[in-house]
Amino acid sequence: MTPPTTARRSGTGTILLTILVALGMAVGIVAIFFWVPTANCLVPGAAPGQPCFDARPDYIQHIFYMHVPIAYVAYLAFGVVLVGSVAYLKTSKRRWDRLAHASAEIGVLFTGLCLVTGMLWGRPRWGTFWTWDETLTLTFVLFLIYVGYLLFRGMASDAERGARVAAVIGIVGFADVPLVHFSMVWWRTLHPAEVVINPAGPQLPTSELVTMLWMVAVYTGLYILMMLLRTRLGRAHDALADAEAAAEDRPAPPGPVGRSGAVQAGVQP
Amino acid sequence: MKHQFAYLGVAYTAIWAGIGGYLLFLGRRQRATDRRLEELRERDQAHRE
Amino acid sequence: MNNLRKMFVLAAKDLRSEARAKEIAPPMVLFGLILVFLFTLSFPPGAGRAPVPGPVVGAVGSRELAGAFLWVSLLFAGILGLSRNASTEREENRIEGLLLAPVDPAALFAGKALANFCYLWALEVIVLPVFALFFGVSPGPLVPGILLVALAANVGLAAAGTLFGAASQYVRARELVMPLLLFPVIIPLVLGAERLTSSLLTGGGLVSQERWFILMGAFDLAIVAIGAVAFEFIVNE
Repeated sequence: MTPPTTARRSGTGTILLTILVALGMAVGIVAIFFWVPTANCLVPGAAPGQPCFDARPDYIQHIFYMHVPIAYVAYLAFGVVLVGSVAYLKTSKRRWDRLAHASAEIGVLFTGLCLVTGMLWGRPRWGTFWTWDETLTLTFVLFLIYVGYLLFRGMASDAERGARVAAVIGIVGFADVPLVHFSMVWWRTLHPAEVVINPAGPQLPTSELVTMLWMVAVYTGLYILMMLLRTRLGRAHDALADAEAAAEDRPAPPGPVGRSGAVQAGVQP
Repeated sequence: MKHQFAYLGVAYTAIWAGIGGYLLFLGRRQRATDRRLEELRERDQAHRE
Repeated sequence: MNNLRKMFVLAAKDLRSEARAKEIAPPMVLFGLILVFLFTLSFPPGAGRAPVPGPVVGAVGSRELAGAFLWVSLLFAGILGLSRNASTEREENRIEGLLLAPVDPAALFAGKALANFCYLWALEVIVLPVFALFFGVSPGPLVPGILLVALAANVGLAAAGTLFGAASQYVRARELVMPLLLFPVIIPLVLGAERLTSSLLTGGGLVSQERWFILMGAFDLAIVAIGAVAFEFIVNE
Protein backbone atom coordinates (compact mmCIF):
# COMPACT_ATOMS: atom_id res chain seq x y z
CA MET A 1 0.00 0.00 0.00
CA THR A 2 1.42 3.36 -0.96
CA PRO A 3 1.83 5.56 2.09
CA PRO A 4 -0.32 8.66 1.83
CA THR A 5 1.31 12.04 1.44
CA THR A 6 0.55 14.43 4.22
CA ALA A 7 0.01 17.94 2.95
CA ARG A 8 3.29 19.79 2.63
CA ARG A 9 1.84 23.24 2.57
CA SER A 10 -0.38 24.73 5.22
CA GLY A 11 -3.88 25.45 4.06
CA THR A 12 -5.03 29.02 3.57
CA GLY A 13 -7.00 28.70 6.78
CA THR A 14 -3.87 28.10 8.78
CA ILE A 15 -2.05 31.02 7.20
CA LEU A 16 -5.01 33.31 7.78
CA LEU A 17 -5.20 32.24 11.39
CA THR A 18 -1.49 32.87 11.85
CA ILE A 19 -1.88 36.40 10.52
CA LEU A 20 -4.91 37.04 12.72
CA VAL A 21 -3.14 35.78 15.84
CA ALA A 22 -0.04 37.82 15.10
CA LEU A 23 -2.09 40.97 14.51
CA GLY A 24 -4.20 40.32 17.56
CA MET A 25 -1.12 39.87 19.68
CA ALA A 26 0.36 43.13 18.38
CA VAL A 27 -2.85 45.04 19.08
CA GLY A 28 -3.04 43.47 22.51
CA ILE A 29 0.49 44.48 23.40
CA VAL A 30 -0.20 48.04 22.35
CA ALA A 31 -3.31 48.03 24.53
CA ILE A 32 -1.41 46.57 27.48
CA PHE A 33 1.39 49.09 27.35
CA PHE A 34 -0.40 52.21 26.16
CA TRP A 35 -4.10 51.95 26.82
CA VAL A 36 -4.45 50.36 30.23
CA PRO A 37 -3.45 52.93 32.87
CA THR A 38 -0.36 51.97 34.85
CA ALA A 39 -1.20 51.56 38.51
CA ASN A 40 0.85 53.38 41.10
CA CYS A 41 0.86 50.61 43.62
CA LEU A 42 3.40 47.82 43.30
CA VAL A 43 2.20 45.76 46.27
CA PRO A 44 -1.50 46.28 46.97
CA GLY A 45 -2.92 46.17 50.44
CA ALA A 46 -4.37 42.96 51.84
CA ALA A 47 -7.91 43.79 50.71
CA PRO A 48 -9.44 46.28 48.27
CA GLY A 49 -9.60 49.68 49.92
CA GLN A 50 -6.66 48.95 52.20
CA PRO A 51 -3.62 51.18 51.87
CA CYS A 52 -0.95 50.21 49.38
CA PHE A 53 2.08 48.42 50.84
CA ASP A 54 4.49 49.76 48.26
CA ALA A 55 3.38 52.86 46.38
CA ARG A 56 5.61 52.67 43.32
CA PRO A 57 4.56 52.48 39.67
CA ASP A 58 3.57 48.97 38.82
CA TYR A 59 5.04 47.95 35.47
CA ILE A 60 5.07 44.24 36.11
CA GLN A 61 1.29 44.25 36.00
CA HIS A 62 1.76 43.88 32.25
CA ILE A 63 2.75 40.26 32.87
CA PHE A 64 -0.73 39.70 34.26
CA TYR A 65 -2.25 40.18 30.80
CA MET A 66 -0.22 37.27 29.50
CA HIS A 67 -0.26 35.06 32.57
CA VAL A 68 -4.05 34.87 32.86
CA PRO A 69 -4.86 34.04 29.21
CA ILE A 70 -2.06 31.46 29.24
CA ALA A 71 -3.64 29.87 32.31
CA TYR A 72 -7.10 29.83 30.72
CA VAL A 73 -5.74 28.26 27.56
CA ALA A 74 -4.07 25.60 29.68
CA TYR A 75 -7.47 24.84 31.24
CA LEU A 76 -8.97 24.69 27.76
CA ALA A 77 -6.20 22.42 26.51
CA PHE A 78 -6.72 19.95 29.34
CA GLY A 79 -10.46 20.12 28.79
CA VAL A 80 -9.86 19.09 25.21
CA VAL A 81 -7.67 16.24 26.49
CA LEU A 82 -10.65 15.14 28.58
CA VAL A 83 -13.00 15.26 25.61
CA GLY A 84 -10.55 13.44 23.35
CA SER A 85 -9.82 10.79 25.96
CA VAL A 86 -13.48 10.05 26.63
CA ALA A 87 -14.24 9.96 22.92
CA TYR A 88 -11.30 7.65 22.29
CA LEU A 89 -12.41 5.22 24.99
CA LYS A 90 -15.89 5.17 23.55
CA THR A 91 -15.09 4.96 19.84
CA SER A 92 -11.51 3.60 19.68
CA LYS A 93 -10.91 5.99 16.77
CA ARG A 94 -7.31 7.12 16.69
CA ARG A 95 -8.13 10.69 15.73
CA TRP A 96 -9.49 11.29 19.25
CA ASP A 97 -6.33 9.88 20.75
CA ARG A 98 -4.27 12.19 18.53
CA LEU A 99 -6.39 15.11 19.63
CA ALA A 100 -5.85 14.28 23.28
CA HIS A 101 -2.13 13.78 22.88
CA ALA A 102 -1.66 17.02 20.96
CA SER A 103 -3.68 19.03 23.43
CA ALA A 104 -1.82 17.52 26.38
CA GLU A 105 1.52 18.62 24.92
CA ILE A 106 0.30 22.15 24.38
CA GLY A 107 -1.35 22.18 27.80
CA VAL A 108 1.90 21.21 29.47
CA LEU A 109 3.73 23.97 27.59
CA PHE A 110 1.16 26.56 28.65
CA THR A 111 1.08 25.37 32.25
CA GLY A 112 4.85 25.67 32.33
CA LEU A 113 4.65 29.18 30.90
CA CYS A 114 1.95 30.02 33.42
CA LEU A 115 4.22 28.94 36.26
CA VAL A 116 7.21 30.85 34.87
CA THR A 117 5.31 34.09 34.22
CA GLY A 118 3.68 33.76 37.61
CA MET A 119 7.05 33.44 39.31
CA LEU A 120 8.40 36.47 37.46
CA TRP A 121 5.36 38.49 38.42
CA GLY A 122 5.46 37.32 42.01
CA ARG A 123 9.10 38.02 42.77
CA PRO A 124 9.07 41.84 42.47
CA ARG A 125 5.61 41.98 43.98
CA TRP A 126 5.80 39.63 46.92
CA GLY A 127 9.54 39.22 47.28
CA THR A 128 9.49 35.50 46.57
CA PHE A 129 9.50 33.34 43.47
CA TRP A 130 7.41 30.64 45.03
CA THR A 131 5.26 29.68 47.97
CA TRP A 132 3.38 26.51 48.71
CA ASP A 133 -0.06 28.02 48.86
CA GLU A 134 -3.04 26.11 47.49
CA THR A 135 -3.08 27.71 44.05
CA LEU A 136 0.59 27.36 43.22
CA THR A 137 0.76 23.85 44.66
CA LEU A 138 -2.25 22.62 42.71
CA THR A 139 -0.97 24.24 39.52
CA PHE A 140 2.37 22.55 39.94
CA VAL A 141 0.51 19.28 40.54
CA LEU A 142 -1.42 19.86 37.31
CA PHE A 143 1.89 20.25 35.52
CA LEU A 144 3.19 17.01 37.05
CA ILE A 145 0.04 15.08 36.14
CA TYR A 146 0.23 15.88 32.46
CA VAL A 147 3.99 15.58 32.25
CA GLY A 148 3.34 12.11 33.67
CA TYR A 149 0.76 11.59 30.92
CA LEU A 150 3.31 12.47 28.24
CA LEU A 151 6.07 10.38 29.83
CA PHE A 152 3.71 7.46 30.15
CA ARG A 153 2.85 7.62 26.48
CA GLY A 154 6.52 7.47 25.67
CA MET A 155 7.02 4.41 27.84
CA ALA A 156 4.01 2.30 26.94
CA SER A 157 5.13 -0.89 25.27
CA ASP A 158 1.74 -1.78 23.82
CA ALA A 159 0.53 1.15 21.73
CA GLU A 160 -3.17 0.36 21.85
CA ARG A 161 -3.37 -0.34 25.55
CA GLY A 162 -0.96 2.50 26.28
CA ALA A 163 -3.30 4.88 24.52
CA ARG A 164 -6.24 3.63 26.53
CA VAL A 165 -4.44 3.94 29.85
CA ALA A 166 -3.26 7.39 28.83
CA ALA A 167 -6.87 8.31 28.15
CA VAL A 168 -7.78 7.32 31.69
CA ILE A 169 -4.93 9.44 33.05
CA GLY A 170 -6.13 12.34 30.92
CA ILE A 171 -9.62 12.02 32.34
CA VAL A 172 -8.62 11.66 35.98
CA GLY A 173 -6.07 14.46 35.75
CA PHE A 174 -8.65 16.97 34.64
CA ALA A 175 -10.12 16.89 38.16
CA ASP A 176 -7.29 19.20 39.17
CA VAL A 177 -8.32 21.99 36.80
CA PRO A 178 -11.43 23.18 38.66
CA LEU A 179 -9.46 22.79 41.90
CA VAL A 180 -6.76 25.13 40.61
CA HIS A 181 -9.30 27.69 39.53
CA PHE A 182 -11.46 27.65 42.62
CA SER A 183 -8.50 27.64 44.97
CA MET A 184 -8.20 31.29 43.95
CA VAL A 185 -11.75 31.91 45.07
CA TRP A 186 -12.09 29.67 48.15
CA TRP A 187 -8.85 30.26 50.00
CA ARG A 188 -6.89 33.35 51.04
CA THR A 189 -3.61 32.70 49.29
CA LEU A 190 -0.50 34.64 48.35
CA HIS A 191 -1.67 34.25 44.77
CA PRO A 192 -4.15 37.01 43.99
CA ALA A 193 -7.82 36.15 44.00
CA GLU A 194 -9.38 35.33 40.66
CA VAL A 195 -10.71 38.52 39.10
CA VAL A 196 -12.18 37.43 35.79
CA ILE A 197 -14.02 34.12 36.09
CA ASN A 198 -15.32 34.81 39.54
CA PRO A 199 -18.69 33.69 40.92
CA ALA A 200 -19.33 37.29 41.91
CA GLY A 201 -18.66 38.49 38.38
CA PRO A 202 -15.54 40.07 36.87
CA GLN A 203 -13.79 42.38 39.28
CA LEU A 204 -11.75 44.41 36.83
CA PRO A 205 -12.33 47.96 35.56
CA THR A 206 -13.38 48.27 31.93
CA SER A 207 -10.18 48.95 30.04
CA GLU A 208 -8.40 46.19 31.91
CA LEU A 209 -11.23 43.73 31.44
CA VAL A 210 -11.47 44.45 27.72
CA THR A 211 -7.73 44.06 27.26
CA MET A 212 -7.77 40.83 29.23
CA LEU A 213 -10.64 39.39 27.20
CA TRP A 214 -8.89 40.43 24.00
CA MET A 215 -5.73 38.61 25.05
CA VAL A 216 -7.78 35.55 26.00
CA ALA A 217 -9.23 35.56 22.47
CA VAL A 218 -5.77 35.98 20.93
CA TYR A 219 -4.32 33.13 22.96
CA THR A 220 -7.27 30.92 22.13
CA GLY A 221 -6.56 31.57 18.47
CA LEU A 222 -2.95 30.68 19.10
CA TYR A 223 -4.04 27.45 20.78
CA ILE A 224 -6.18 26.51 17.79
CA LEU A 225 -3.28 27.23 15.48
CA MET A 226 -0.91 25.11 17.54
CA MET A 227 -3.46 22.30 17.65
CA LEU A 228 -3.83 22.37 13.87
CA LEU A 229 -0.08 22.00 13.49
CA ARG A 230 0.33 19.38 16.19
CA THR A 231 -2.53 17.18 15.01
CA ARG A 232 -1.11 17.34 11.53
CA LEU A 233 2.13 16.00 12.96
CA GLY A 234 0.18 13.30 14.78
CA ARG A 235 -1.49 12.20 11.57
CA ALA A 236 1.87 12.09 9.84
CA HIS A 237 3.33 9.97 12.67
CA ASP A 238 0.48 7.52 12.51
CA ALA A 239 0.72 7.35 8.74
CA LEU A 240 4.45 6.71 9.06
CA ALA A 241 3.97 4.00 11.68
CA ASP A 242 1.37 2.29 9.49
CA ALA A 243 3.55 2.59 6.42
CA GLU A 244 6.56 1.14 8.18
CA ALA A 245 4.52 -1.73 9.56
CA ALA A 246 3.27 -2.43 6.03
CA ALA A 247 6.79 -2.12 4.60
CA GLU A 248 8.11 -4.74 7.00
CA ASP A 249 5.65 -7.25 5.58
CA ARG A 250 7.02 -6.84 2.11
CA PRO A 251 10.23 -8.48 0.90
CA ALA A 252 13.19 -6.11 0.62
CA PRO A 253 13.53 -4.50 -2.83
CA PRO A 254 16.57 -5.44 -4.95
CA GLY A 255 19.57 -3.14 -5.04
CA PRO A 256 21.79 -1.44 -2.51
CA VAL A 257 19.09 -0.10 -0.28
CA GLY A 258 19.88 0.19 3.39
CA ARG A 259 17.39 0.99 6.12
CA SER A 260 18.30 4.48 7.13
CA GLY A 261 18.81 5.30 10.78
CA ALA A 262 15.90 7.69 10.52
CA VAL A 263 13.51 4.85 11.25
CA GLN A 264 13.92 5.04 15.02
CA ALA A 265 14.11 8.80 15.16
CA GLY A 266 11.02 9.34 13.11
CA VAL A 267 8.63 7.16 15.04
CA GLN A 268 8.82 8.82 18.43
CA PRO A 269 5.38 10.43 18.79
CA MET B 1 11.98 50.41 39.23
CA LYS B 2 14.27 49.49 36.39
CA HIS B 3 14.49 45.95 37.64
CA GLN B 4 10.74 45.66 37.07
CA PHE B 5 11.46 46.02 33.38
CA ALA B 6 13.99 43.24 33.66
CA TYR B 7 11.34 40.89 35.05
CA LEU B 8 8.89 42.09 32.41
CA GLY B 9 11.42 41.50 29.67
CA VAL B 10 12.34 38.05 30.88
CA ALA B 11 8.67 37.09 31.18
CA TYR B 12 7.75 38.19 27.66
CA THR B 13 10.90 36.64 26.25
CA ALA B 14 10.14 33.38 28.02
CA ILE B 15 6.66 33.33 26.49
CA TRP B 16 7.90 33.91 22.94
CA ALA B 17 10.82 31.56 23.40
CA GLY B 18 8.55 28.86 24.74
CA ILE B 19 5.89 29.16 22.07
CA GLY B 20 8.28 29.89 19.24
CA GLY B 21 10.63 27.12 20.27
CA TYR B 22 7.78 24.64 20.39
CA LEU B 23 6.55 25.67 16.94
CA LEU B 24 10.06 25.32 15.51
CA PHE B 25 10.37 21.93 17.18
CA LEU B 26 7.05 20.88 15.64
CA GLY B 27 8.22 22.09 12.25
CA ARG B 28 11.40 20.08 12.47
CA ARG B 29 9.62 16.89 13.46
CA GLN B 30 7.02 17.41 10.75
CA ARG B 31 9.71 17.76 8.10
CA ALA B 32 11.54 14.67 9.37
CA THR B 33 8.35 12.61 9.34
CA ASP B 34 7.32 13.87 5.91
CA ARG B 35 10.77 13.12 4.57
CA ARG B 36 10.62 9.60 5.90
CA LEU B 37 7.18 9.10 4.41
CA GLU B 38 8.51 10.31 1.05
CA GLU B 39 11.35 7.82 1.28
CA LEU B 40 8.93 5.01 1.90
CA ARG B 41 6.76 6.08 -1.01
CA GLU B 42 9.73 6.17 -3.33
CA ARG B 43 10.85 2.76 -2.15
CA ASP B 44 7.34 1.55 -2.72
CA GLN B 45 7.32 2.96 -6.28
CA ALA B 46 10.72 1.44 -6.98
CA HIS B 47 9.48 -1.87 -5.63
CA ARG B 48 6.52 -1.89 -7.95
CA GLU B 49 8.59 -1.17 -11.05
CA MET C 1 -25.27 -12.77 42.36
CA ASN C 2 -25.66 -9.06 42.13
CA ASN C 3 -22.69 -6.74 41.75
CA LEU C 4 -22.46 -5.70 45.37
CA ARG C 5 -22.16 -9.29 46.47
CA LYS C 6 -19.57 -9.96 43.77
CA MET C 7 -17.53 -7.03 45.06
CA PHE C 8 -17.40 -8.54 48.54
CA VAL C 9 -16.61 -12.00 47.19
CA LEU C 10 -13.74 -10.65 45.11
CA ALA C 11 -12.34 -8.62 47.99
CA ALA C 12 -12.59 -11.61 50.31
CA LYS C 13 -10.74 -13.72 47.76
CA ASP C 14 -7.92 -11.17 47.63
CA LEU C 15 -7.70 -10.86 51.38
CA ARG C 16 -7.78 -14.61 51.94
CA SER C 17 -4.94 -15.19 49.50
CA GLU C 18 -2.98 -12.42 51.19
CA ALA C 19 -3.61 -13.99 54.60
CA ARG C 20 -1.87 -17.07 53.25
CA ALA C 21 0.96 -15.41 51.32
CA LYS C 22 1.58 -12.40 53.59
CA GLU C 23 3.49 -10.52 50.90
CA ILE C 24 1.58 -7.25 50.87
CA ALA C 25 0.54 -6.13 54.33
CA PRO C 26 3.62 -6.96 56.44
CA PRO C 27 6.19 -5.10 54.27
CA MET C 28 3.76 -2.22 53.94
CA VAL C 29 3.20 -1.86 57.67
CA LEU C 30 6.88 -2.26 58.43
CA PHE C 31 7.77 0.44 55.92
CA GLY C 32 5.17 2.75 57.43
CA LEU C 33 6.61 2.25 60.89
CA ILE C 34 10.13 2.88 59.64
CA LEU C 35 9.08 6.14 58.01
CA VAL C 36 7.25 7.40 61.10
CA PHE C 37 10.27 6.48 63.15
CA LEU C 38 12.60 8.34 60.79
CA PHE C 39 10.47 11.45 60.91
CA THR C 40 10.25 11.39 64.68
CA LEU C 41 14.01 11.04 64.94
CA SER C 42 14.64 13.88 62.54
CA PHE C 43 12.02 16.23 63.92
CA PRO C 44 11.45 15.46 67.60
CA PRO C 45 8.02 16.57 68.80
CA GLY C 46 9.46 19.09 71.23
CA ALA C 47 11.31 21.01 68.51
CA GLY C 48 9.81 24.38 67.65
CA ARG C 49 7.13 25.80 69.85
CA ALA C 50 5.68 23.63 72.57
CA PRO C 51 2.27 22.33 71.65
CA VAL C 52 -0.46 24.53 73.06
CA PRO C 53 -4.14 23.74 73.00
CA GLY C 54 -6.08 26.01 70.71
CA PRO C 55 -4.92 27.67 67.50
CA VAL C 56 -1.17 28.12 67.46
CA VAL C 57 -0.02 31.59 66.58
CA GLY C 58 3.53 32.24 65.47
CA ALA C 59 6.34 29.90 64.55
CA VAL C 60 5.55 26.47 63.24
CA GLY C 61 6.09 23.76 65.82
CA SER C 62 6.42 20.17 64.83
CA ARG C 63 2.76 19.69 65.77
CA GLU C 64 1.84 21.44 62.56
CA LEU C 65 4.31 19.34 60.66
CA ALA C 66 3.13 16.16 62.33
CA GLY C 67 0.16 15.92 60.00
CA ALA C 68 2.50 16.03 57.05
CA PHE C 69 4.89 13.45 58.52
CA LEU C 70 2.09 11.05 59.24
CA TRP C 71 0.53 11.24 55.80
CA VAL C 72 3.77 11.13 53.88
CA SER C 73 4.66 7.96 55.76
CA LEU C 74 1.22 6.45 55.19
CA LEU C 75 1.28 7.46 51.55
CA PHE C 76 4.63 5.90 50.72
CA ALA C 77 3.89 2.76 52.68
CA GLY C 78 0.43 2.59 51.16
CA ILE C 79 1.76 2.89 47.62
CA LEU C 80 4.09 0.02 48.32
CA GLY C 81 1.15 -2.16 49.27
CA LEU C 82 -1.05 -1.02 46.40
CA SER C 83 1.73 -1.60 43.93
CA ARG C 84 2.43 -5.09 45.27
CA ASN C 85 -1.23 -5.95 45.11
CA ALA C 86 -1.47 -4.87 41.50
CA SER C 87 1.59 -6.83 40.42
CA THR C 88 0.60 -10.07 42.11
CA GLU C 89 -2.61 -9.88 40.13
CA ARG C 90 -0.68 -9.66 36.93
CA GLU C 91 1.97 -12.19 37.87
CA GLU C 92 -0.57 -14.86 38.52
CA ASN C 93 -2.60 -13.88 35.48
CA ARG C 94 -5.65 -13.70 37.63
CA ILE C 95 -7.14 -10.80 35.76
CA GLU C 96 -7.56 -12.79 32.56
CA GLY C 97 -9.30 -15.56 34.46
CA LEU C 98 -11.63 -13.12 36.13
CA LEU C 99 -12.44 -11.40 32.87
CA LEU C 100 -13.54 -14.69 31.31
CA ALA C 101 -15.99 -15.18 34.14
CA PRO C 102 -19.21 -13.16 33.78
CA VAL C 103 -18.12 -10.36 36.08
CA ASP C 104 -18.90 -6.72 35.47
CA PRO C 105 -15.56 -4.85 35.28
CA ALA C 106 -16.95 -2.26 37.66
CA ALA C 107 -17.45 -5.00 40.25
CA LEU C 108 -13.93 -6.22 39.54
CA PHE C 109 -12.65 -2.73 40.20
CA ALA C 110 -14.75 -2.33 43.33
CA GLY C 111 -13.63 -5.69 44.70
CA LYS C 112 -9.98 -4.88 44.17
CA ALA C 113 -10.40 -1.38 45.57
CA LEU C 114 -12.16 -2.78 48.62
CA ALA C 115 -9.26 -5.14 49.26
CA ASN C 116 -6.84 -2.21 48.90
CA PHE C 117 -9.05 -0.19 51.24
CA CYS C 118 -8.66 -2.94 53.85
CA TYR C 119 -4.90 -3.02 53.41
CA LEU C 120 -4.74 0.72 54.01
CA TRP C 121 -6.79 0.39 57.18
CA ALA C 122 -4.51 -2.41 58.36
CA LEU C 123 -1.59 -0.05 57.81
CA GLU C 124 -3.23 2.79 59.72
CA VAL C 125 -4.47 0.66 62.61
CA ILE C 126 -0.84 -0.09 63.43
CA VAL C 127 0.91 3.10 62.39
CA LEU C 128 -1.50 5.59 63.99
CA PRO C 129 -1.09 4.40 67.60
CA VAL C 130 2.68 4.21 67.12
CA PHE C 131 2.64 7.73 65.73
CA ALA C 132 0.60 8.94 68.70
CA LEU C 133 3.13 7.30 71.01
CA PHE C 134 6.16 8.85 69.29
CA PHE C 135 4.61 12.30 69.13
CA GLY C 136 3.38 12.23 72.68
CA VAL C 137 -0.18 12.84 71.63
CA SER C 138 -2.94 11.44 73.80
CA PRO C 139 -5.05 9.71 71.20
CA GLY C 140 -8.36 9.51 73.07
CA PRO C 141 -10.18 12.69 72.01
CA LEU C 142 -8.59 12.69 68.58
CA VAL C 143 -9.64 9.20 67.55
CA PRO C 144 -13.03 9.99 65.95
CA GLY C 145 -11.53 12.87 63.99
CA ILE C 146 -8.54 10.92 62.77
CA LEU C 147 -10.75 8.00 61.79
CA LEU C 148 -12.90 10.29 59.70
CA VAL C 149 -9.87 11.78 57.97
CA ALA C 150 -8.44 8.33 57.36
CA LEU C 151 -11.75 7.17 55.95
CA ALA C 152 -11.89 10.06 53.52
CA ALA C 153 -8.29 9.49 52.48
CA ASN C 154 -8.48 5.69 52.22
CA VAL C 155 -11.44 5.63 49.85
CA GLY C 156 -9.68 7.88 47.37
CA LEU C 157 -6.27 6.26 47.79
CA ALA C 158 -7.65 2.77 47.36
CA ALA C 159 -9.64 3.69 44.25
CA ALA C 160 -6.84 5.69 42.63
CA GLY C 161 -4.30 3.05 43.63
CA THR C 162 -6.36 0.28 42.07
CA LEU C 163 -6.82 2.23 38.88
CA PHE C 164 -3.23 3.31 38.45
CA GLY C 165 -1.89 0.05 39.78
CA ALA C 166 -3.62 -1.77 36.97
CA ALA C 167 -2.59 0.92 34.52
CA SER C 168 1.09 0.61 35.29
CA GLN C 169 1.21 -3.15 34.86
CA TYR C 170 1.44 -2.90 31.09
CA VAL C 171 4.37 -0.55 30.89
CA ARG C 172 8.10 -0.86 31.16
CA ALA C 173 9.53 0.20 34.54
CA ARG C 174 6.23 -0.41 36.28
CA GLU C 175 7.45 0.22 39.85
CA LEU C 176 8.45 3.72 38.82
CA VAL C 177 5.44 4.49 36.71
CA MET C 178 2.82 3.86 39.36
CA PRO C 179 4.04 6.46 41.86
CA LEU C 180 4.81 8.83 38.99
CA LEU C 181 1.20 8.74 37.87
CA LEU C 182 -0.47 8.33 41.22
CA PHE C 183 1.22 10.98 43.36
CA PRO C 184 0.23 14.10 41.48
CA VAL C 185 -3.36 12.95 41.10
CA ILE C 186 -3.88 12.29 44.80
CA ILE C 187 -2.17 15.41 46.06
CA PRO C 188 -5.49 17.14 46.81
CA LEU C 189 -6.37 14.14 48.98
CA VAL C 190 -3.02 14.06 50.76
CA LEU C 191 -2.99 17.83 51.26
CA GLY C 192 -6.45 17.66 52.74
CA ALA C 193 -5.53 14.81 55.06
CA GLU C 194 -2.41 16.65 56.22
CA ARG C 195 -4.23 19.94 56.86
CA LEU C 196 -7.05 18.21 58.71
CA THR C 197 -4.67 16.13 60.82
CA SER C 198 -2.55 19.14 61.71
CA SER C 199 -5.66 21.03 62.58
CA LEU C 200 -6.73 18.18 64.87
CA LEU C 201 -3.32 17.98 66.52
CA THR C 202 -3.11 21.68 67.22
CA GLY C 203 -6.58 21.75 68.65
CA GLY C 204 -8.26 23.45 65.72
CA GLY C 205 -10.65 20.59 65.15
CA LEU C 206 -12.22 19.50 61.89
CA VAL C 207 -15.04 21.98 61.50
CA SER C 208 -12.73 24.91 60.83
CA GLN C 209 -11.31 23.09 57.85
CA GLU C 210 -14.55 21.73 56.46
CA ARG C 211 -13.63 22.94 52.97
CA TRP C 212 -10.96 20.27 52.84
CA PHE C 213 -13.41 17.62 53.93
CA ILE C 214 -15.81 18.59 51.17
CA LEU C 215 -12.97 18.58 48.70
CA MET C 216 -11.79 15.14 49.79
CA GLY C 217 -15.33 13.79 49.67
CA ALA C 218 -15.91 15.17 46.19
CA PHE C 219 -12.57 13.81 45.05
CA ASP C 220 -13.41 10.36 46.45
CA LEU C 221 -16.74 10.27 44.65
CA ALA C 222 -15.15 11.34 41.41
CA ILE C 223 -12.29 8.86 41.55
CA VAL C 224 -14.50 5.92 42.48
CA ALA C 225 -16.91 6.75 39.66
CA ILE C 226 -14.15 7.23 37.11
CA GLY C 227 -12.36 4.10 38.28
CA ALA C 228 -15.46 1.95 38.03
CA VAL C 229 -16.05 3.08 34.47
CA ALA C 230 -12.48 3.25 33.23
CA PHE C 231 -11.15 0.02 34.75
CA GLU C 232 -12.43 -2.16 31.96
CA PHE C 233 -10.61 -0.11 29.35
CA ILE C 234 -7.37 -0.73 31.12
CA VAL C 235 -7.61 -4.45 31.71
CA ASN C 236 -9.38 -5.53 28.56
CA GLU C 237 -7.34 -6.75 25.60
